[in-house]
Amino acid sequence: MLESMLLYLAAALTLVTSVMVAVTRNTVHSALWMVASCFLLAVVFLFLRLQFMAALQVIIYAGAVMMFIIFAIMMLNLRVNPGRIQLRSTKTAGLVLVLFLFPALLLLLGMGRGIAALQGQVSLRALEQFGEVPLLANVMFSDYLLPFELVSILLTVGVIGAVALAKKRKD
Amino acid sequence: MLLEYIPILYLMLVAIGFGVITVILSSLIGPKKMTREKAASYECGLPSEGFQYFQTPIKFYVFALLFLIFDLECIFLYPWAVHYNQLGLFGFVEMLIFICILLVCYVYVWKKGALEWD
Amino acid sequence: MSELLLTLAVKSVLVVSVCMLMVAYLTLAERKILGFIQLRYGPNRVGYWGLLQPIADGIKAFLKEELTPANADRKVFLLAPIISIAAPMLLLVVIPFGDTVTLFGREFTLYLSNPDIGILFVLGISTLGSYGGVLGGWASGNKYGYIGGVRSTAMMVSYELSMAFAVICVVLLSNSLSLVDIVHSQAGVWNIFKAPVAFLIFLISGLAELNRTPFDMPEAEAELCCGYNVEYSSMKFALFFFGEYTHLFILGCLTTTLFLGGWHGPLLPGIIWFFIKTFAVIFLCIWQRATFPRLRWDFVMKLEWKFLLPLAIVNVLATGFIVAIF
Repeated sequence: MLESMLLYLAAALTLVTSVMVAVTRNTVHSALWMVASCFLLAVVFLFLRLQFMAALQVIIYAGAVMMFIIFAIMMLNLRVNPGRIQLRSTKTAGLVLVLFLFPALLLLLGMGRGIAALQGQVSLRALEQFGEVPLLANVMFSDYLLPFELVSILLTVGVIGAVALAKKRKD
Repeated sequence: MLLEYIPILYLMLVAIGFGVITVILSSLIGPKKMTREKAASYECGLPSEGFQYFQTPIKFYVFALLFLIFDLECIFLYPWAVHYNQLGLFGFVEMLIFICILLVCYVYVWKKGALEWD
Repeated sequence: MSELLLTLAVKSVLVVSVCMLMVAYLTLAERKILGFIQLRYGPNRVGYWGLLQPIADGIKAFLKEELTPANADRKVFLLAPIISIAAPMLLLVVIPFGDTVTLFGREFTLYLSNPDIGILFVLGISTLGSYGGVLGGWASGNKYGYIGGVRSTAMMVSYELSMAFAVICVVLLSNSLSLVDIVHSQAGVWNIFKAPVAFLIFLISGLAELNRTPFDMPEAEAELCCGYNVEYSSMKFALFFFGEYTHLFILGCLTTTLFLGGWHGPLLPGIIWFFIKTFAVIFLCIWQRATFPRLRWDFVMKLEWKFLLPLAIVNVLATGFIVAIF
């Protein structure tokens, strides 16, 4: 009872901080709200008994990705968002996207894919018996070996793209 | 499992509380004689020149991205390391391939000169 | 349930207050040791042998005027020192100071919490802690502070990589992410003997994360005045300062836990061994401050990206190979 209440509190706070990301004018403040949102999402993962996922959420998203975004903001020197410019076309596109994506998400939930995530191989019982990390490693390094190796190629592509972009001026 | 996180919650409250209370107390206790000179940013005694905010060199951005990529790679290694005694030599070969692909990318970055501060 | 909550609360407060007292005296210890090395006295006026100096410093910092520069970003300016102190303080929660003890007929664990992902918790929270520098520098609206903040954070995140790779070697040897399990696995041979290269990489990266000399780049007095905390005064400055020393204490505890066998040791009780080892590591950190000059900024980045990081990655593979064969 208490647990589900806390879970709802964390989920609600995640929503609030996400909204703050969108409505804050100052770009750095907005990025900080996003850090908070990522952190709270990690708390939600904890309530789902997924500790490793929570740790990943903090290390990768709240730590690395947001640090990258903050450096990007500083590189572009966007201290305060010039709120005057109304990007009408972008707004419409955003509205259309939301109108399509939100029902799609609800549909996914309704199909049971969202709710059934903790059944099957990663059930609650398996989590308690084997621990989350060995369970994950077992699947990742046997059934999903090829995608795992392909991830390294994906990361390589990302690095090459970034270096090519940043080095353009020199050549 | 969640029981282990109760002390973490407590310490989080204590740590943030300590910071917040200290900041509030120090702003209450200390003297306040603000002048325009004091509020100016500290540089060298002469009036400050130019913008306080300027663009960060793109190098920092590149390093932040490299950090992101290698951090991701590193995180993939943790489940592997925990499960290693079950994976054995097969697991070693798997990780060898993974790391070798990324080392190729590392060598590319080095050769391209992105690791230099010039 | 409520009794458990109360016990945990009392334990948390106890651990925090004892550790923070130690951290406060760490500032005195550093000044005394540096004085000893440089043939000076160090602080010796406040109390016997300068023992009341940390308290005097704290009171003085409280009584100073607090300045907020006119072009500062007020909210972030306040937030940055809080992040800098809260992150290392939070890390105290997972440090295993000792095994279980029996007091008043009840068993107590000498650590607050032992989550299954302990070491990842440490890495995650210390990454969050490095926001303090960059935000502090950015928010103060000062050129020096800004450069210092960006530099410090770029350095901290870079060295965090080699640190994370060094920790993987430890995880390979003990097959667990929980800090208590890692200490248990070192009952026979300490990890420093099994993975000496990882230990060195961990210690060097740790020093860089602390922003200590040879790596005190962000604060380089000669070039940047004081780096990201140049506009901070009063207790807000003291929070940055205190956060750095808490981080030093945490680094000592972590090195002990991961590489020096934690509470294991002959004759003396575990918790005493733990603190002996921790303070030995801290002494090493203070000692090297008096010995080495500061590195130039491009050398700092070069050391990490061209030497430590590839070395750490190859070291993981080598450790994996050796573990797989034997």
